[in-house]
This record gives sequence, C-alpha cells and structure tokens, in this order.
Amino acid sequence: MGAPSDAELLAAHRAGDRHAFGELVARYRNRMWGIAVRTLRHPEDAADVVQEALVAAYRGAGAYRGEASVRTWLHRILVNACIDRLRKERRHVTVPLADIEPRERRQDVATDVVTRLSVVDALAELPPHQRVAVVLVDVQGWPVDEVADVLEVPVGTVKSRCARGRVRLGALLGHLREEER
Amino acid sequence: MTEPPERAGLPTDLLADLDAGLLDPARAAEVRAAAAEDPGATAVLAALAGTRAELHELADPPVPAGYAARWDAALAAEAAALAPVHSRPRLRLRVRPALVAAAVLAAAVVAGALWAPRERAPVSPDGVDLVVAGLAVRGDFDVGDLTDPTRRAGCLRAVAPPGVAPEAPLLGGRDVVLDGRDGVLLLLAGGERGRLHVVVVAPGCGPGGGVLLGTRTIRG
Repeated sequence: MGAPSDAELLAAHRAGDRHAFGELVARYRNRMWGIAVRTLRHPEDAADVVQEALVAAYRGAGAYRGEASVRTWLHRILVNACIDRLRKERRHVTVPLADIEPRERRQDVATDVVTRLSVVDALAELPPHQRVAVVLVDVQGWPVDEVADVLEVPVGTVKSRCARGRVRLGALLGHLREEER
Repeated sequence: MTEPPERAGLPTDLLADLDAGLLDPARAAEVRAAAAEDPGATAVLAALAGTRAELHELADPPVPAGYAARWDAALAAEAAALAPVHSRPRLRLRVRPALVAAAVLAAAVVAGALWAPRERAPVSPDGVDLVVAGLAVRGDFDVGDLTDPTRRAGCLRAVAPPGVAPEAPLLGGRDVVLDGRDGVLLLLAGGERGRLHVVVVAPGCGPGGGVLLGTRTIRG
C-alpha cells in the first residue's frame, strides 16, 4: 500500500488521528519555509509566518471543503499570511543574508552594471503581490494555473504580476541595461 | 530605486507580456516578429529570460532546526489544547519521537542543558526548558500516584501553583529530574484554548502536602 494522499491525511486528522497532521506538514514544511523566507526575506519573520500558517491550518482543517487541493489550501494560508505580514511591517532594515543566501553571484557583468542587487534584495523591492507571484512561479517553479488557485486570482493576473515583477527585477539585477532602453 | 528601462521601440512592458505568455497567439506572433527585427527588443527578451533563470537558481535554504522545533511545539500545544474539545477517544497516547526529539534537542542545545527521564539520566543540569519538556510528555501518563485525580487535585491544592486549577485535566506527565531533584512533571490543560500548564512537584505529593519544584504556563 502506498503512502496516504494529502486529502487522506487531512481527513485522518479531522477524524482524530494525532499523527496525520504532522505527516502532512512534513511533506510541505521545507517548501513553505522556502516560500516564506524568499517572500519575507527576514528569517525570523518567515518562521513566524510559517508557524501562524501551520497553526491556522491545524485549527481550520475542519473547514476544508475540498474545492482546492490540500497543497493549494495549505499554501493559500501561508501566502495570505505572508502578504498580511508584508503589508503590516517595514521594520527590518538589516538582513542576515549570509545565513540564507550562500550562492555565489556571477561576476561577468561587473564592469557595466551601475546598480546591481542580490536576488534576495531585489525581490524585497517588489510590491507584495508581485513578489509572491514571482516567488511561486519563478523561484519555486509552480505552474501558473496552480499559483492562480493559491492566490485566488485569474491566470492572467498571475502572468501580469510576474511580467511587471520581472521587468523591475531585470533592472535591479542588471540584466536590463542602459543600451536596452 | 532602479526603475525599469523605457525603450523607444517596442515597449518593455509589451515585451514582458510576451515573455510571460500574456498575449493572445496572434498578437504574440506579431510582437515576436517585430522583436526579431529589433536588436534592443531581442536584448530585453534575453534579459527577462536571464532574470527568470537567476530567480530559478535560488535554492530553498534548509529549515533551521530551532524553527522546526518551534513549529512542532506550537502544533503539539495546539493538539493538546484541542484534544478535550474534540472528545477524542481516550487512547494510550504515544509521543511522536521525531517531533519530541527535535523539540527537546533544540531546547537542550539552546539552553545548554539536558532533560531526560530519571532512569536514563539521574542528574539534570540547570536551565531545563519546562515548556518543551512539558510538551514532550503529552500523552504519557507515567505519573505514579498522581494518576489518581483525587490525589492529584489534592497535590495541586497543596502546592498551589499560580493559576492552576486543582482539577485541571491531565494531558501527560512522567518522572523527571529537575535541577538535580527528582520530580514528577504534569502537563495540565489550562481551561482556555491554547493554554497549558507545566507543573513539576516532588515525589510523594498529595493531599497531605507537597513541594513545588517548577511551573510554567504555555499560551498558544
């Protein structure tokens, strides 16, 4: 017998299985963390939001009606929490990027780049809805239609947010340069 | 802030729409053909592709152990708080090893301390995190005489931990060593959703008296 599906685990949790929710969380915890930390940038904020989302999902499991997949439902809770947090707070100025951004940056265009931020810093410059769309589609690699389900917006809206976000990021990262203006 | 470039030829936003698949097929073909004749537009499309590629290179960072333990503890507290509300079957509850190990290990690392059942570690240093230890015993009811509700209520009445009702439902417990002293740890429902009490009393606690070794309240 294979592993239980997400829906089966959630149903088991609702029926009183004390282990089912933990198993479900184990499947998505790393991904939720990745989304949160890329969206919010500051690890402590990201950890708070993941915790809020997990507890909210635990409490709200009874209200799950199956209109969306469990994965979509769970990530919708997380993303909404991220957007709420982005709207509320602008208090963090410094970021321990070394803790979460170990990748070496390329050095190939250093001579003609006037302003070039790290990807993480550049993402932080985007408005919340653009940032979330770009993180889910371009960073996490989710299909656009599933992102639309998570965000509860039309597919075209996700594409539009990604398009606007990429233009902004392209400039911030130095891909779109003076000679292309 | 660096602003997106404005171009004299095909607008950058139009090219970004093309890149994102926003245009209908006919319009996309038209713009793509025009872009092919425009080196600047080609460069913009390449830049957008480069931007997407760079974003895709971002790997998810690993979840720090401390955060994972915090999330597990929050869910454990939630589970403990909701258990009486849902009237779940009274089973011999088993502590999930992975969850508990992560939470306890994290607390031990942070506090520089170890918490363990008496038979495994007769001495426990200072700095025990009662919250994590309390959550870790959820579902274990190895509390000796204090399994008896009447004796337990008498004990709690005698030691009077602040804010703890003597008849508070027992959610778990076991023998511990706290700051070098033998004790019995009790995890008790707090009477409100998300609220729990961790109480540690010396062995022998009962209606006739007892010694309170430690107490903490957990609020969800």
